[in-house]
Amino acid sequence: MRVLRVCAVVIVALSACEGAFVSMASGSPEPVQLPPSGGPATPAGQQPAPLCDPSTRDVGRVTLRRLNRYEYNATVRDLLGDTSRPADDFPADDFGHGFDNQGDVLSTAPLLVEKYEAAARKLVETALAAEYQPGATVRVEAETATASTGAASGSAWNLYSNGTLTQSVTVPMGGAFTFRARVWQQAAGPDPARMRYLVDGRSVGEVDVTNTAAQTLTQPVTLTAGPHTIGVEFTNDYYQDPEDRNLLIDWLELDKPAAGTPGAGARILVCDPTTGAACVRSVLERFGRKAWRRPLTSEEVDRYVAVVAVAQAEGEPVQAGLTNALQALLLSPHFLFRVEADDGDTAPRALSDHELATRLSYFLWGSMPDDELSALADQGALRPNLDAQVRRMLADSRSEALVTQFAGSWLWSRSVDEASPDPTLFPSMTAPLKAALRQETEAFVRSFLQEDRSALELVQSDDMFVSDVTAAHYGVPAPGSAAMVRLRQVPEGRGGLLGHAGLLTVTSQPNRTSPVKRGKWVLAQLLCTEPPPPPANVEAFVPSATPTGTLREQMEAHRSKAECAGCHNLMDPIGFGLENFDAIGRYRTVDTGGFPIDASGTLYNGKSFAGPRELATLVKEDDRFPLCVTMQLFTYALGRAPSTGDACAVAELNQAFAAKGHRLSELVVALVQSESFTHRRGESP
Amino acid sequence: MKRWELSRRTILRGLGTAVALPVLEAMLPGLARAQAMGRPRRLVAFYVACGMYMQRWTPSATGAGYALSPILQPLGAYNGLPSIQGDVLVLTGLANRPARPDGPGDHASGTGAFITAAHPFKTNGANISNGISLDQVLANQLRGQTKFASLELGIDGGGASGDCDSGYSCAYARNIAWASATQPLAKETNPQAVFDRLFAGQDPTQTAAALAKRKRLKQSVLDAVKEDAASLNGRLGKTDQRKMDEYLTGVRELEVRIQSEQATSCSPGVRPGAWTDIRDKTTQMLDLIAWAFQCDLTRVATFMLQNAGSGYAYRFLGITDGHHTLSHHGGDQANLDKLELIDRWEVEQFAYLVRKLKSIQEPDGSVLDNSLIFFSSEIEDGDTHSHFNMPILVAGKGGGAFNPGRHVRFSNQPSVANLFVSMLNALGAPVTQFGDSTGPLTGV
Repeated sequence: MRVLRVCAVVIVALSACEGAFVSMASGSPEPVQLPPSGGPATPAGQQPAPLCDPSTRDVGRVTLRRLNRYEYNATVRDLLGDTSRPADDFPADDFGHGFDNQGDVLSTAPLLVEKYEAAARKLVETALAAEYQPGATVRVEAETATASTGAASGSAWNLYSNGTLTQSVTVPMGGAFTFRARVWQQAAGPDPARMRYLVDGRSVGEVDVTNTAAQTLTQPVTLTAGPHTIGVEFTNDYYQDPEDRNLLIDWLELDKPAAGTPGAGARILVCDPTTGAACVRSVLERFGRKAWRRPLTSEEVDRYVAVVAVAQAEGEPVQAGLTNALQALLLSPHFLFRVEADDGDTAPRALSDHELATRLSYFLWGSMPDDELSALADQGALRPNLDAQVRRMLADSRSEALVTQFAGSWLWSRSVDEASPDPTLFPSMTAPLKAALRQETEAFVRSFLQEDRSALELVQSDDMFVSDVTAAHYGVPAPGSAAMVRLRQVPEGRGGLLGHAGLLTVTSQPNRTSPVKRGKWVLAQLLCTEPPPPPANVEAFVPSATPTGTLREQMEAHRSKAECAGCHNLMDPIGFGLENFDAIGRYRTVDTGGFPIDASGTLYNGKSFAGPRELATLVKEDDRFPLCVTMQLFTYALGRAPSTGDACAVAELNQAFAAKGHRLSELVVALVQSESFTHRRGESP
Repeated sequence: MKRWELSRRTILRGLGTAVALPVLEAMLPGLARAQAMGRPRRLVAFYVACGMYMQRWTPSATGAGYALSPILQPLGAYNGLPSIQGDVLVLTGLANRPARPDGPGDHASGTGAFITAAHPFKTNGANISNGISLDQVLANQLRGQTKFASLELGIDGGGASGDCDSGYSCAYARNIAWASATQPLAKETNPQAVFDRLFAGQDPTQTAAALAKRKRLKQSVLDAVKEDAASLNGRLGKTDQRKMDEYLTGVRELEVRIQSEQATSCSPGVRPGAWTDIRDKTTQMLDLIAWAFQCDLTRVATFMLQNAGSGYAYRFLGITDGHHTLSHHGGDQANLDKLELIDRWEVEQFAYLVRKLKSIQEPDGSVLDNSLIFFSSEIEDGDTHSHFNMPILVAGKGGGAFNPGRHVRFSNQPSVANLFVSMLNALGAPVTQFGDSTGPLTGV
């Protein structure tokens, strides 16, 4: 918001310049002027008025984007069927323009690279362990093993004096194993037989063998891939004729427990890598194609085949080398970044089908392209099918990313769980209630994507979503459902985002409401017109401990300085209009001091309202709202904020949005088909 | 202790020229190595948010034996603990001028400039620009001598939706360590994950040959991705190349880390358990810093007790208002009294770390004697948002160059960067200029 610093400018921008919007991009020097959105359709045969100055038009360029935490988790879920959410342990992604998927802001700290390496290792080992599962148990019959002492005793081996029984085994995949030994003792003397578990000549555990009939004892061990020696040792021999303490061993076993289930299409081992180089190459080629979201060049495949060769030259089994190579594929910039190379060309260019498929899937799903999308890209057939693909993808459950990530960041519903209202003042605001209030906003937004409602109803509608957890909070009967269900008869002031208790909580102080925060949220998030922050050295507003009037009256009295009043006259009336909702969003008609709430006011545009419902109507009727939805979606989709060169594109999208009844799905389709989405401008190295 | 078994080839393959020099120095036998190994020097930068209640912070007397102010009580004999007043310098009258924001945004710009003494460029997206931070200058000097060049730790990763401070990117508000003008170093906020990074996977029985082989195999993975990055880099525009540089820097750091892995075992503590609030979490993090120093896994750490302009409600102190709201106290004594409680609690945490480091003995004194612990906030007073007269503590002797136990008042508001130059010199980094410094700070 570099553009607007002075309150007066905001007032002018808001009241005088109908249709003006402030560019969200910090790099753009001037506010971008747009004509009014929507309006009557152009009569047939008549040229429409130009929407913008076409000489400024630019397809734009987004800075190389790495996967953010959500995208990483979703990608490994779809690539490997791994739902362990490894990226939850990565450092938090920074935000730009309100979203955590902005190319310029997503940086890659050394700590993150370290976490990438560890996560990739674990992901690959887990996935392969599941695939290697059938042959993962190794059993050593005692009588075939190497013993330092003792003698065969039936199908067992009798260690009749202190000594070891060992055997070499090759472990194809590293990880956690269960070491089992079927053993028993011949009891003698005061103590039971003592047995050590040995791995590579070292004790990894010790146990008393108290049973005198065969029994299976277990010991967890961690092994790297490759050859190992496993065995047991008898350590407390006892002999007082005729008493003789011995340790008898039937067999030893290494068992690799199941460690995850591969998801559909996540099969890595399409052939047995021990059969030779052709299989290794094929495995890497196929997995690389999925992980990198494009076919690998043969030089690239060579590079990863070489990783396997290094391991084999070190005496490692091919499986261990393959683990390393697969790990490297997930540590490569081609996996971690959404690469769109310029190749020295500074001119705008159409994205390749693979680049476009990747943009599309991360926009709509926050994840990698699926098989259908990938196949279309491989065939070069994506562009003619864009419309159908968008609609298919919106219907897919992965489009939940638009609800939780796009709308979650835009509307701040992602922050509801971390809100911390004072528990002594608001004991009912528990973690489950917070989660449910977030889910309410998500369910509401989801209905716009699924039901093709007009997005204008986001601000004011005749329905809301409740569950048994939230019903009491809203003072409505429990619907008998733990999941969100739609309510058609909404209580006073509800229906639309401005009545969502979770959002009202996020925009409050821990111990009171904040009309300023709420007003600022409406202006910035819904109208994309954020007032500048307060000047330095202003006296802060502190509500009186013994109030003689409402919070509103105290604030109005406090706000006497002209330099404050300018901006606060924009924000505060909106917040006052929401004073019927307390700091956790419960409806009220008197405040905590016992004073009656006055929720009437006059907005920046001179229009008056009485109560939250009328306030919502005014916001809904503001042309800036649909334009703001367009800009927010543009920012999320492209990983950059619209700037001067995007004025035409944004204006056209906004017009298309209006022409299609402000249906979000139509805005998504129009955005995906715009050159801003399908093209990029290059930059010299 | 055995270190630097690296071949020259490994080093050259693993490192860019920018960081190669100190490592090569470390490979030299004899004097340089003895100097580097003999007396390890260490640095911690300790950040707290929202300024200080200065009337209750600043001691009225200067010099040694001054009377502790109410907020600085935890430095004295306190709750049955011995006094550490003699180990700490209280510095009054230093300024961080570059921290002054362009328009509003003191919390974010003050945090960005906390130990860079550089001017954070106001942006919400592109063109993030700050300066290299104090700790990273030292980390670059020491890189390769310990498993981790530096540790970046904190309590709060940052909110789930983005509204940081007045048009400043959250990168400024959440990070105090900066590897370069454009690269903030994200911090780790999970004590268990930090413990695992530091201590997990140690295998003291591993043979030298097995360890060497393990390193070669890990290196083969990094070699492949480095080749990917190198060939990709030439195909990218210059903005994108900056992103690839960040990635490559991370890969190179990982190489150094892998190559400096030892078969030795050092684990002075147990893995932290679950935490209930920031009290346990802070203790766990500070313990981890002490243990990392004790095992010489790193010599440089930064710690953020909160993020810029934190709104945390200190309910365990009986305070239900958010910290930031309170810090705009408006002169109201009820607010100021609560701020005093918060500020004193923050100093208690600092004192905990200082006492902990003091309790770890080395051949030539305690770890604290060989360290410098810098403590301050992003602003002076929460209401005025000033960047002058910063509230500053420095604990430790830095190997003998610092003379703690005094309250020193400076006139004419010299730059805090002068202090940073003196600190870096004490810790063995021969810099003459840093941030907006005009020279070393005399009198510390």
